[in-house]
Amino acid sequence: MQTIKKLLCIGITIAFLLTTDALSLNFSGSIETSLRYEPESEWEIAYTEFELDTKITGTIGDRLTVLVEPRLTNYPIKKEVFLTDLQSRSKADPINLELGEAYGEIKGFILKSLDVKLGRIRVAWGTADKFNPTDNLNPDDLSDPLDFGEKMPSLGASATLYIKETSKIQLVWLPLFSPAVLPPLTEELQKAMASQFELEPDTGSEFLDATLSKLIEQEQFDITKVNQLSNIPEPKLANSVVGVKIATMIFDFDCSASYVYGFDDIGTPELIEIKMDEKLTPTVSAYMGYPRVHIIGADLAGSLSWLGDIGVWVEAAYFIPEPIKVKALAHLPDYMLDIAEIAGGAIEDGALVVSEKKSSDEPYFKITAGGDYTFKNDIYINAQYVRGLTSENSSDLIHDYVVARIERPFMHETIKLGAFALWSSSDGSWGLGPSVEYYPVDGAKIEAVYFYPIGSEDSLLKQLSSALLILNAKVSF
Amino acid sequence: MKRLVVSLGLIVFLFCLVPIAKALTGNEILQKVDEIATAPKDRTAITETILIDKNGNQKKRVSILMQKGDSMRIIKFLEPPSDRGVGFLSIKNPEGGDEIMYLYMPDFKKERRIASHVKQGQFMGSDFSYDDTATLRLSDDYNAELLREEGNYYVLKLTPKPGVEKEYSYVLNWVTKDNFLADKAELYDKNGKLYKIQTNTGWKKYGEYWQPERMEMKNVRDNHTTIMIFKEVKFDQNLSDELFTVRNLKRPPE
Repeated sequence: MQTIKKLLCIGITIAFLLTTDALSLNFSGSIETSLRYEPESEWEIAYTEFELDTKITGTIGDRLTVLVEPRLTNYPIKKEVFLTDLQSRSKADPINLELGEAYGEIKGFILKSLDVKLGRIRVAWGTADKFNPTDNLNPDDLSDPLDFGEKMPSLGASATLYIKETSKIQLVWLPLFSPAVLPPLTEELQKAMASQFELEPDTGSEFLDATLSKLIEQEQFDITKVNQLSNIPEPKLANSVVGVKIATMIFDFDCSASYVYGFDDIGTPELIEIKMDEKLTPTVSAYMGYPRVHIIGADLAGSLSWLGDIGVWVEAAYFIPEPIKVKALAHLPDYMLDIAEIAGGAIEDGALVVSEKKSSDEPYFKITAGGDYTFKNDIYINAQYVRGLTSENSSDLIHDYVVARIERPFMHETIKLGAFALWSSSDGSWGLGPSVEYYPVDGAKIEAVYFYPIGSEDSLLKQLSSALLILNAKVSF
Repeated sequence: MKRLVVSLGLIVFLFCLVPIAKALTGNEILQKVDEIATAPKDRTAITETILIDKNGNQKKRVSILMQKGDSMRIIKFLEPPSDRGVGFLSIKNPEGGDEIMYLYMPDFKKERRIASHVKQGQFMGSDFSYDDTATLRLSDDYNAELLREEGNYYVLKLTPKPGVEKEYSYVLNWVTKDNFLADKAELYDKNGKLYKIQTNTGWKKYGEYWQPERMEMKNVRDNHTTIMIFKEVKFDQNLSDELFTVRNLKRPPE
């Protein structure tokens, strides 16, 4: 009852403000469907999604802006369902309610040139196209491997002080850390993740190390069948994510320098726990940890007048991870623990310490450098060198890529033909993607993309995705 | 005889006093056109842009336009819904040279710097190029030659000045003699072939300023037409420079 009263009060207030023109509201949105077929797997549907995106923007006066982006999503593919779920529509065909950004922004907060944004915010940094190494405040959304650079908004505050027309300083504070959303856990991905949890016994006892190594080798500990969990940093002030950025214009180029003190949101193995019962049946649990990381970034963008005014940009970030302890513990039956202790193994909280080391603290660079040009016949080309994709979060995982795109509109942008190519210099694998976009009427778009990876089965781009025919349709309102 | 000489002398004297009406040159006429186009200190308007293909199919764009001087311009799109919130900003380059341009796409949550070579491309799928919509002071970029007089019009031939890159080899401009308003232009491509025809109609006077209610650009190659209709036109609103910033570009249109 109290909730209904509150909602009524809010509704009446909004209606009043609307009638007095104090509040101006605008509602827009889109409906998008996506279907992906795997031609090399008997045209199996690999992915399908329905999304209803809405955006509500409101202004009160000329200083307060409000934006809310509620979203409904539905993923129709199901392989197994319980029969009891089929008795309930919400379980048989679940609709997910998600929220994009939701914030209020005050223009001229205390100072005339200071804007403050509070709420669930997306702070998008970086001048490169799609691959932004300096964009590290919000957590990654890796649920779609082909959607590079997608991020999720976070609860927080952003303050931007504008200095003259072309300079600004921005401070961002996100009090809560959120890990990245991972891609669908296919068998290949689980194996790849499990391979990170390498068990190299280092108990301090040669006998124990040899025994454990033999057991692991005999696959008595099948790491691919692990319970994988996350050790999310505690929600406290010390675990905030903060960032600062200074931007200005120098010699016709937009430049900026930034610093972020955040977390590796993809994570790194932190703890493996092997529990063996009296019958010596093992259960393995692996925990991902999220080390702190310092990120120093810089970028610039402009055009080269002496080279036909080609657009150019360079964006770079230097990642300095803080190492965390990585441990493997074995919870053994008491008698085995006693033997292990006699053999010289270290016991901690009733468990044998199988190994203990630190995660990598080796700094690494990520860079994107590229340019674009539109020819007089409207052909648009874009090419970038990319060092380090979003998911490559340590010095030993960084690879180099070249990404290029070409597009040409026809019939006054009713049809757009394009193609992109992605090349990995590490293993020579390719990803090619011809595409066609059709805009039959205003507000409607139909798109077809064929993604084709070329390379060996264990090449980077083959692991990214198999060949796909992607069909998208979108209507905006 | 004496009377005749005095009369003739008087006529000659008066003739010398009266200044001879000097014929205007092409460049002088173009200067006057520019003076009228750039007279307002600032301008705002709601612009309705209708794109019509050869089959008569139409697409409509609605945007808010704000302009200050001849180098600061911001456009925010209201329709179609897929483009709502998209913004375009052009500002004076503090280092001199070409204007600096930004495009803001709400879906990407950030602005993008646009290279100045894009100016010769089509603006949002229309038959107007970025350059067509931005260039107010034609005399900065073109030399004008008076070809002929045609009824109430001066017909000028505009050719790009040396070192100025334009998508047209030349432009024919019909300028009214009484008000120096550019009613019509024929734009010729680099091969000298007729490429586009622009007509400005429905001239209205707002105080001391002239504004066409309708600008039409026809692409004769592919038989496609763009019509821009200006509504709620206001001049000299003392627009603040703050409106022509990236800060304002990212705010949702009101």
